[in-house]
Amino acid sequence: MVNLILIIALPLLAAFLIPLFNYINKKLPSIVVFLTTAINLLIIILNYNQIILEPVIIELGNWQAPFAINIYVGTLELISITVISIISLIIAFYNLNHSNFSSESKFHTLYSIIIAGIYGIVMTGDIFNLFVFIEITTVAAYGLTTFNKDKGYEAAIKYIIIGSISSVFLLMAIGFTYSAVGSLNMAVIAAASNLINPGLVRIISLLFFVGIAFEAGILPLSIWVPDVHSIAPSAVSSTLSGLVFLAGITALIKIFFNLFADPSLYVFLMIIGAISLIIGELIAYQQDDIKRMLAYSSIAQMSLVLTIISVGTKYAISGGLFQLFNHAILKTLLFLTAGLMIKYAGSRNISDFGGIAKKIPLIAVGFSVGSLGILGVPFFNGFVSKIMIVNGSLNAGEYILTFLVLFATVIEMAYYLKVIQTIFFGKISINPHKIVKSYVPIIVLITVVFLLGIYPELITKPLNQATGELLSRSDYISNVLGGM
Amino acid sequence: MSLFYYTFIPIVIAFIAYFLNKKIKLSLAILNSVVFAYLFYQISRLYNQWNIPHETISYYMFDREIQLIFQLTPLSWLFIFMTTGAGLLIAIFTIKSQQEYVLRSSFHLNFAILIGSILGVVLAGDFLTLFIFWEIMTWSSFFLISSGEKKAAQKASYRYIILSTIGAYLMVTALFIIYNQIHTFGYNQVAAHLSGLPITESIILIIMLAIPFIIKAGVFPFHVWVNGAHSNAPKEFSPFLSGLMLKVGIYGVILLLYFVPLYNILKESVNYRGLPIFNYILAIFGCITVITGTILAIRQEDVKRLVAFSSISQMGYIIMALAISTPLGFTGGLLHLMNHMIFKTTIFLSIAAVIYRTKTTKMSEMGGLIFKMPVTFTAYLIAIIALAGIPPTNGFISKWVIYQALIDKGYIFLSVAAFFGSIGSFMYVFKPLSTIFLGQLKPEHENIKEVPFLMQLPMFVLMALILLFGILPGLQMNLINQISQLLNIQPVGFTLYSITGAFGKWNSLVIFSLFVGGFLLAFIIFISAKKSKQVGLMDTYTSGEYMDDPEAYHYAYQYFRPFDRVFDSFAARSLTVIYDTFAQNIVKLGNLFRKSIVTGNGQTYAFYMVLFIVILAFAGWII
Repeated sequence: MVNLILIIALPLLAAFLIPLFNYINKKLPSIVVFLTTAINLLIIILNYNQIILEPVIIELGNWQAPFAINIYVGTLELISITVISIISLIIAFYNLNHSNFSSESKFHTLYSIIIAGIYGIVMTGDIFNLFVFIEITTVAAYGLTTFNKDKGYEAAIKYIIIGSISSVFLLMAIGFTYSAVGSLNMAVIAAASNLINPGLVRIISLLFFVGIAFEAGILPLSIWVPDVHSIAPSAVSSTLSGLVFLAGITALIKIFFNLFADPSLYVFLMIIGAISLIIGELIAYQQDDIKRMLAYSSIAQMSLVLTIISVGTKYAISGGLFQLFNHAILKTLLFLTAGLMIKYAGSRNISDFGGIAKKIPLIAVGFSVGSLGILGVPFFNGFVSKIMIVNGSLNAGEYILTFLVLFATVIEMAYYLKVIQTIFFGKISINPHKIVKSYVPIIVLITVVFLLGIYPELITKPLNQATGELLSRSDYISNVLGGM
Repeated sequence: MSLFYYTFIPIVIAFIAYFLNKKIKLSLAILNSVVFAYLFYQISRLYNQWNIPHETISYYMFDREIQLIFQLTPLSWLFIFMTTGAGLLIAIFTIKSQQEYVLRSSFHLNFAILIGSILGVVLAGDFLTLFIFWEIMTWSSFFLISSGEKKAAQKASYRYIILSTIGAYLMVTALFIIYNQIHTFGYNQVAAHLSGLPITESIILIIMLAIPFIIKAGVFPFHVWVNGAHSNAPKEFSPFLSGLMLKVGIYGVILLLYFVPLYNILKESVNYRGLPIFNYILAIFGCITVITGTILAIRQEDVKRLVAFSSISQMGYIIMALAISTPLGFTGGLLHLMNHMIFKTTIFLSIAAVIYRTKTTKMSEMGGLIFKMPVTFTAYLIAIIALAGIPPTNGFISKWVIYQALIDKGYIFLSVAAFFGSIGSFMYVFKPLSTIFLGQLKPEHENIKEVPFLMQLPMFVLMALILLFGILPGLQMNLINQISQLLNIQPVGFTLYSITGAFGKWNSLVIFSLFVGGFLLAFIIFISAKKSKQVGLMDTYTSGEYMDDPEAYHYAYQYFRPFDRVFDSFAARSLTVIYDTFAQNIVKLGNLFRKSIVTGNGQTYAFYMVLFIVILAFAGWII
């Protein structure tokens, strides 16, 4: 077994070495990033069979659990990091050919850092460490936003304002927790959460929610998302939308299921998620800018995941998680293809994409596969997760929630189909702005979409295990603390 | 061959052919024809093998394997036979007709997927399998409608998919409410569960299950998608849309009404005139569909829209007949279903042939094509004779059985609607006949030729079928009685050329001989009469004046104006407007959110955060 800490350490190391590599050869940084992401995937594959049997806990510096920072990789974390490693590898491959920025090495440095941060958010077992990784991710994201020169700064400033306010709340939450429990280890806090004053627990959980949800795509905290996603280069948009949101939701799940499992709070999460879902979809329908549309769609999808997971039953959680991972894959595909279409057409308006499918068929097909996946057409990966969500919410007797979710999907269908109709059946109005080519990432992502659609057991079996782990807190605590 | 392959062969072949098509033009159309021909042959060999065992495929979904069941019954055989048959004829038609059509390859890809998915829908042995293929069917047909050449195709397909999806989601919700109690999707188990529930609960679930089917069948009040979709779809797809897609909706209705015997479940609910209220309402909806479809069809200036509305009204007949749940009604419904598929496909194909040559769908821009396109004319003529329900065609027999069923049970209102629809159909089918084929030839159509043989072939086959089933309805009755047996319905007596109705027997052989005699007589008179005189097209109106818009003075324009005037206020009150207003209000709401929330201002966003915390805190999270 290879030490899992490497998958955080390697990208960080690469990030610091990249300026050096850049000095040797201008092409080297992108290759280095590609190699580190590939090695990360390899490490995860090597460890997969062991982690699926029982959670792996790595204690830094060989100190025992309550004292040291630890890395906890259970089944949920395992699936998350697998998805993250696959997607980051694909995006790194895409960057080999498509990152023609003047300050290229800086871009790759920041990209490496953000990947390390994302892995960290998912795997860490320590709340202060969580804060650190969230900050790493966010700061790298601020930088990545500005790579499109014109409007990037304005978007980044908004992002920074909201990000820093949130981090204040997060820090407050951590401070309160430490003063109440005397430890920053998640398992210790979980074990002690019944002993803390329940009023304090509610304050802490609210602060945690606000501190993390801004990175998880929940309105109104994530209102910065459309500005940033639409301005950033498409590789960054897909990372932010696919991976950072995934990490944010995973962190929220950890806080609300492992740390403070207070079912009375789930109602709030459900209502916030549902409102955010409907508003997100309705605003997405209004957009003419394809990337803004995708960004609002991301918000809606994340809200959907949050609201379904907060139903809190086995079926609902596994459905929501499946949707989360599907969304990561599909949004990567959507943002990459949308970015290529934008480059080709030289415009971000949907109405300028008329008949683009004749010119760049694979990219158009990639975009529509992504859309149909999100809409849940049978044999696309979104179908099974949609069915699982419906089943989960009906199983728990949440009829209104089911109605809202399906209503939101209808609106979602309305705006995705507008794009698909334009790119396939619209009047041809394109004069190619820039020739674009990208085969491998799109084909790989399409394959993954259909693979999960036809053999959902690849992911639903581990997901059921992960759900089981989430719902048994005592196992989590005893795993980390060794039956303390 | 395993049943499973029937659905997957077309889908897989479609993708292979799609990539081939980039190299060799037309390979898709030809390959599709070959595949459909093969499937058609295989399916025709399946006839009478009703004891083929179920087949299952496991699909891992929640925390268990879900079995997707495929089964063959006489009912599903009828539908797969019709589907592949119609698919084959249309694929042959498209080999020649799509020479200049840009979206050819996507058309064929989606068409083959559509055929596969319809086979899946009707071969499905449980509701989940049905739902999966139902969705694929909806999506592939959506892409087919969108690929129409007119600009309105996009809006029409949009309306179609949104409405279909709402229906599908109602169905999936109902299915999972049931699933969570019985943990299976099987038809019989679901039926048993529904009959065990309290009556209101089961009625709500049944309505949720039925709505997607009713939407697909184009029945009032969900008929709003039909005319747009039919008139804007590619000309080769309209025949299939009307001939088969609408019928798949009917298949679902049959499934619910008879296979999952709703009648037994609903018997104890409120009854009205011996019918459960659900059935009665369905019959009334059918009747409204007949009237609406007929009145609107008469008004149309666009030939495809006209035939589309006619399809709506014919669907009304079938629903009406099926809803009254008598053996005669069931038989009449199924007969009309088959016959409507045959003659409506013929009508649309002949119109597609006309469009192929004239490049227009406006009736007032055509005329006098009878001598230029005699085969197309004959096909259209025979098909409309069938549609209007005149012997010796198949359309008469099925309408006759439906009338018998309606009158037998004494449903006066329904019978009047049926007769109204029948008389109305004389009016609307005559309009294209007289304006496209009769009248005088337009100068620009002087050089038009008959369509190529490959396009004539499907029309010949369908014409032969119309007459064959008009003379020998026993061929169809044989299968229908097997279906009746399967569904525990008392069979209707028949011989090869006669059917026993409620008030007597219909002998089509005698009638056929009479009609042939009549035609011969008329023909002899026609031959011996004086030749008619040619008159200039616009002579009667212009009196030497200069005209801005000659089309408006063409006799085809507002053909039945006096009749239309009576129903003007009725036609203006369109359901479409209600649906559109609803959708617009949702869009407006979204716009409101966008304008009020997304200010693009960093300070406002920061303020939202604080406000959000305060609201949450006081809404009960903390206090």
